[in-house]
Amino acid sequence: MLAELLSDIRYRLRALSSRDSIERELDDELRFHIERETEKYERHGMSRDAALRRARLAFGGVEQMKEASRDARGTERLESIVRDLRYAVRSLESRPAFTLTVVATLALGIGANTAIFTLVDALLLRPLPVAHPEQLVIASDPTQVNNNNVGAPITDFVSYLLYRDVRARNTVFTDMYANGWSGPIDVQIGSGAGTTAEQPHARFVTGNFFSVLGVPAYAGRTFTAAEDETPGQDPVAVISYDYWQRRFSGSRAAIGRVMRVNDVAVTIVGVTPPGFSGDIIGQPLDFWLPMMMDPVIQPGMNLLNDRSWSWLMMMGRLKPGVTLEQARQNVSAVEANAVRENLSGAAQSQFDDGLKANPIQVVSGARGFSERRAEYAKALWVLMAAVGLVILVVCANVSSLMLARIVARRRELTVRMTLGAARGRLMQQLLVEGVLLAIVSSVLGVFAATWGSRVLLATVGGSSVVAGPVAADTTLDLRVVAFAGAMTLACVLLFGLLPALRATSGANVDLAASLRSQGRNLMGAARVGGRANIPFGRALVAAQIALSMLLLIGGGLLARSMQQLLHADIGVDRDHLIAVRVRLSRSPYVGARLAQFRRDLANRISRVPGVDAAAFAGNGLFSEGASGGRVDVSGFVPQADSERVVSLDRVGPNYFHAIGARLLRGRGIGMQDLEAGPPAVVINETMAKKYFAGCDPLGGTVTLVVPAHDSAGRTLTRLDTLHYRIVGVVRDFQSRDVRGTPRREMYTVFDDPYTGNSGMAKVVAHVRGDPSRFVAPIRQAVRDVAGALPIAVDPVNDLVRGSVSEDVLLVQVTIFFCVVTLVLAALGLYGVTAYSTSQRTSEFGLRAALGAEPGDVTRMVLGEAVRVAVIGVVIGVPAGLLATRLIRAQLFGVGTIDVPSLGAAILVLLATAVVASYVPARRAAKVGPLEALRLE
Amino acid sequence: MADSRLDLPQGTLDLLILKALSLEPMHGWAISERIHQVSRETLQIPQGSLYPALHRLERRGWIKAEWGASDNNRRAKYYELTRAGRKQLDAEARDWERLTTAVALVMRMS
Repeated sequence: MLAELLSDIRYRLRALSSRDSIERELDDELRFHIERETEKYERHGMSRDAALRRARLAFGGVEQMKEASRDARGTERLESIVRDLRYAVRSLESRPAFTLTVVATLALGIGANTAIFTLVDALLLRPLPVAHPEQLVIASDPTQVNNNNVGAPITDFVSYLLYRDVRARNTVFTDMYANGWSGPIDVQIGSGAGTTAEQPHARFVTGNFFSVLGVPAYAGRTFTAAEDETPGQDPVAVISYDYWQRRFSGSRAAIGRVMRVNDVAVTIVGVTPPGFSGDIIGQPLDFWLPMMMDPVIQPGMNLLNDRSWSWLMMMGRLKPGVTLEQARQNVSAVEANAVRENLSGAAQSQFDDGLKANPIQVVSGARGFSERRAEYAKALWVLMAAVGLVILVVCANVSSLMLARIVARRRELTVRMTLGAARGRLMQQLLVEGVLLAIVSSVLGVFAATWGSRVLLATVGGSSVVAGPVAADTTLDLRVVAFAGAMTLACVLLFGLLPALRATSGANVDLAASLRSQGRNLMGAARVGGRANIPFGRALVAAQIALSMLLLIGGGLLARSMQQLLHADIGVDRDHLIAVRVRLSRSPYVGARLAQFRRDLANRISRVPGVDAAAFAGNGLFSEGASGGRVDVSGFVPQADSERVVSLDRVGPNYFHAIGARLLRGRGIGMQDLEAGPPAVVINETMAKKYFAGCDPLGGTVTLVVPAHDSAGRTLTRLDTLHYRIVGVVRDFQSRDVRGTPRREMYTVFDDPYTGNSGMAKVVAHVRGDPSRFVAPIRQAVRDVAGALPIAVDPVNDLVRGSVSEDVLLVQVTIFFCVVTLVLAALGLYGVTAYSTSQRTSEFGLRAALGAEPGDVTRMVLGEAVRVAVIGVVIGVPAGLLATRLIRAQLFGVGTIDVPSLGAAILVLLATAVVASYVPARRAAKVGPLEALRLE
Repeated sequence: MADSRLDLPQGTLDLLILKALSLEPMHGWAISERIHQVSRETLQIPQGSLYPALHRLERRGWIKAEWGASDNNRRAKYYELTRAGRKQLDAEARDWERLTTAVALVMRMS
């Protein structure tokens, strides 16, 4: 059996490859046979001619025998497909406009869909490149990767001692690790002439970080358990593969080299495998340091021993058989108890209240931590759905074009069927053509997708100013390509096959009628021209335009929303402000020296030409860092603890004047508050409304409870009670988040030696004119005071833009796809119009003969196209308005019915329709009566 | 002459061709002539089915073909039995024996 099969295949292959010679051989063979027969009859006495005739007769039909032989060869099906392929290639080449339109459309559609899916996959879906990511569980708030907090213990991110307790007492994890941000660090590699200094991204991790994740060392080794025990004893680091390539050119000599991290000598002991850059999506890391090195590298912060310093994220690996739910219950209980043990009295009940409102988060860690993922996840999904619609649009587009083609070939098909062509054979030919188109387009689509993904991620990466690029692994996901390609193929076949079936079905084969209808082109022109030759063509294009409208409306709204975000009134004079930050973490400025430093800094900056005013602040504007506390306000009885929470900032003299915030009552913080007298506080409008509801707040008292500090600025465990007198009310302004509703905020002076836990000195400068012109002179001025300390100087508007980087990202991506959809719609309209006009050549010739001007014909065709577009718009607008409810959360400052963006979208679409149909319209106008006749 | 010819029962054409080729390689016309003669002119292979049958057998690997010179020095395609073909011939001959014996037995009953 097997031998037969093999010989069969070999035979068929040979038959395919040397078809021509086989045909000739068959000819020779048959001819030889007939000759011998002829000779036989001749020997029996017949004449040559009679013998020949007799032989031929006896032989039967030569052609039929050849056919039978060919059938017997068993390659007929394959041969016919190969023949169809060649024919398809030729016929596609002969119609470049059609072919290019279809291929471009399909490629663009597949490319766009794949690109957006790659983005969504890289940012939202892909699990961590570690062993068995589904077993990983996060026991923290996965979005708080870069936060820290001083004060009462919290559970969104935890203190080191709390981590130790949870790790020791839980019963559900085989092991758990913790990681925390290193804060800004300086690294120096090499010495003397070859020194490079930089500020890489690094985190402190417990020694079991790599073993819990299951990440082996690619070179060298990872941390050992011993390196997790004694603070300061093991100055080692594990670097990432990318950092290894970038900084050390991938040389093995890097292992064992010493880097100076914040002036501490650290030895590199290993490199992680390529593709692993940490457990935080969107924040690739350069290296990891052992947790025990924290006190040496970040001195003065006591992060390992202080239960009030929360700064770590925790991740554990489930024991076999344990579910996420079981883990949640166990970890929540263990953690809550561990916290309660170290609190007493009011603090304990405060913590319990807090837990009720905000339970301990225990979630799946398969996809790692991510600061911004949740924020833009929904919007990205909506966008992906929209782009999925694009694929539908694409299929509709191609379908209408293929329909047009088939209808145009109706006469040819009818003639062939009348001559005896089998229906299946014709279908095969049409199918082969469709498949060829789909394959070519898919291949092109893959290239388009690769390029598009790269462009998308470059856009995404370049959009944020402060937060750094969003790097993600972007290897093309073949699943998606396969899916998109398969879907497109299905559509192509569906819409190519169905009309082909209809066109070739027996009932429709009326040769006489079809010939007649062609012959009567001139006469029947008026009737033919009115109704579309393409049965659903116009409807499909209208649907396409409706879908484009949908995307345009969404895109327009997002664009307007972004514009609002970037220019909205946030209560300060944002267009004339510059924010200065000086990092103090390893400087000698503490206590009174720090207070003096701040004053000197503000003074020096205010002397720069062009600077109107400069003032210092603890948290400043959009400069990271926030403070809050619980207050008791005179004359107000809180109903719940949450009513006592306010945000607060320490500010220097003239702060409100400098930032351009408006004082509604009383005065701002001034020089007099720095010296002596009862501590003053300025509250904002929201706070005044909440606590004083109509009465005059001035003169009231605010009592604040905060952790105490020692003279060196370190946080102590005891709490201080501070009393302030309200001296002014300021209009609400946004200092952290453009979007949020204003919170209750209060502003007091610094009660030195408070340094602020961000370890930064911040100054805001008000300038005359464009802030970007003053960045350099201000930076120089700061250098004069701060010397070699790390400095950042940015216009506040840039910082605001950085804080809404995910919105900017979304808008840029959406606009990218709006353009793609527009191009697709234009292609679709062009294709259908071109085909339609090519069928109506005789009609145009007739019109020309009857006296129509070329302009009239152009206008007529354009008018028809625009009418289709209008129908699309009319359907698309209400659909779009409905759909934009989905992105309402992303919108800022615009309602769902925004007339300017709606109007712009409609105009753009109609303009595109005109442009797309212009060329075919012109071509129609050029048809003279002679050409129409010639077609007959 | 045409009347005394019998139609070949289904499926026996392959058997006859294989048998004819088991004696010596032949070209298509020769096969047809040989069978006609040996059967005392009873069996005449329908010309239209000879060559398709030959190509079918070639495909299944039971015969193989080669171009050679015929007795009057013209080019002809010669077919030859392969080893698999010989095995197939034996198998089919056995089946044919059994079939005809069985049929004869049935026919003899009265």
